[in-house]
Amino acid sequence: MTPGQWRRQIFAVLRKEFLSEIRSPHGLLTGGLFSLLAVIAIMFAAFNMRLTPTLAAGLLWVIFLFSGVASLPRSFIAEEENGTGDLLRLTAQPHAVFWGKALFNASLTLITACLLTFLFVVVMNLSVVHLDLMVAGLIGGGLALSGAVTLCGAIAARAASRQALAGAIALPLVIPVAVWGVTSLRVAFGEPGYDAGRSAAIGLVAYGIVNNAIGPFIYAVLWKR
Amino acid sequence: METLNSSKLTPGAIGLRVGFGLAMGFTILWSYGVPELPTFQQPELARIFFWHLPCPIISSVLQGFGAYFSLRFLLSNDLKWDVKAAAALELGMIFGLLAMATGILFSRVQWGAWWQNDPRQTSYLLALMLYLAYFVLRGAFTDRMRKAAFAGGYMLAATLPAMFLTFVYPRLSQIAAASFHPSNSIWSGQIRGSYAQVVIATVTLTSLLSIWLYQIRVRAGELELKTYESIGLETGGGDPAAPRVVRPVRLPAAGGIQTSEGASAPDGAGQP
Repeated sequence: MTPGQWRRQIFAVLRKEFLSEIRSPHGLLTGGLFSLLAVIAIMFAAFNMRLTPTLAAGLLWVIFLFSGVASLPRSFIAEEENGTGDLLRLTAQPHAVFWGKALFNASLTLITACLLTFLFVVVMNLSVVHLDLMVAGLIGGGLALSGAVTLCGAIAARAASRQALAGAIALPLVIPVAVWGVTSLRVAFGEPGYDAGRSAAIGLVAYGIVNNAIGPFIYAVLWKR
Repeated sequence: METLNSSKLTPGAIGLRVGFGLAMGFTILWSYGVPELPTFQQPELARIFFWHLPCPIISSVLQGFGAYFSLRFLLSNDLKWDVKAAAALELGMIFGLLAMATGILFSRVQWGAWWQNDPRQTSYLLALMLYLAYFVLRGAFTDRMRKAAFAGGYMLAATLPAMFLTFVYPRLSQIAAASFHPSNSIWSGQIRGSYAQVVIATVTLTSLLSIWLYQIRVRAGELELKTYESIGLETGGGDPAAPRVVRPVRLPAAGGIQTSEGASAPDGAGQP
């Protein structure tokens, strides 16, 4: 396949995902609702209390993790539930399918993460000291989270109890993402240690690249079994 | 049919087993003979270290082998590699749990609490969760080939996070500074004299024990595989989650296109 054909296939899958999401915004609604409710729950728990940067970063990343794990595997699972997985297998290359879905999931994660972080910072009255670290952490974390969860969705899509299984097997894979994410975000919220925060943000971006690079190859081996 | 007990032990094999048992007994007694460490809260209980140290080493090595065997299966589609991968990961998980149990005991006697929220303890617990997720995934498929393929794919994806959680994260400067758990006691020469000798003995003997257990597990797995194949249980059509596809088929006698009503394609047969 030529690079142009790859691009066309990847963007065709991405377009299909966006159209499906517009028709039935399941992923965005699930992730958004989950995140919103989690923020409200934290507002109740932290009433009359000022969160430290470390605690705020930890809480925010817990919300990212669980909202991502709840909503992202759906892109592959829905294909099997609707019976459209076979059509994809007939018409597209596995790498293009994975890349298309991973790009869609990354967009969804980034949109949710940006909205959620803005909301969290405002309602918890947090100050952002290093905006660059926050942006790098969110982009790298979004890529890493979506890459790992997309792959787990693809692995679990044809198993029994697939939605719960995808979440269960994705969580151990994304814990390193949370570790780096918390480190970069707590420095962004004002904790000292800019170098550690920068290293963590770089680690997040690297983990995201690695996850998105190996994911298509593992999926290609599995997708016709 | 070959069974686990079908081959009689040769005198050499019996001698090896007896020798191993004697060596293990001697090492246990030897470990009580080394002097107590006065720097420990309970000096006599510092000896748990002799049996704690080999467990994470063996567990990590077995996890590496498990990932390698999974890759071999995905490249060859030969189920014998899956048997080896599952055996290595099962034993790896057992040794990981032993490392966790002895570590918790050590934490209690040395640091005063069963669970310290130590970053190293937590990261190791998360690495164990990866093993657990692998076995949960295996349990979600009933078809043998799918079970092997999807769990193998997951293991490959999990290798990088497992290595990070086991080797990299505990050695990050801010984590190493906050953790009670030493990270370089071997390489910095803190284990010396009779302690070093006992450690070498326990690591060697526990490694030999793990190899022996691995061989038994692989043999049992291969026999199970042969049994399944010989009585035709490995049909590949028993997966309840597999999509049921009804497709038009051409029947040579009729010459036309007909639909196989109610028939479900065998697993994998519906693929292009």
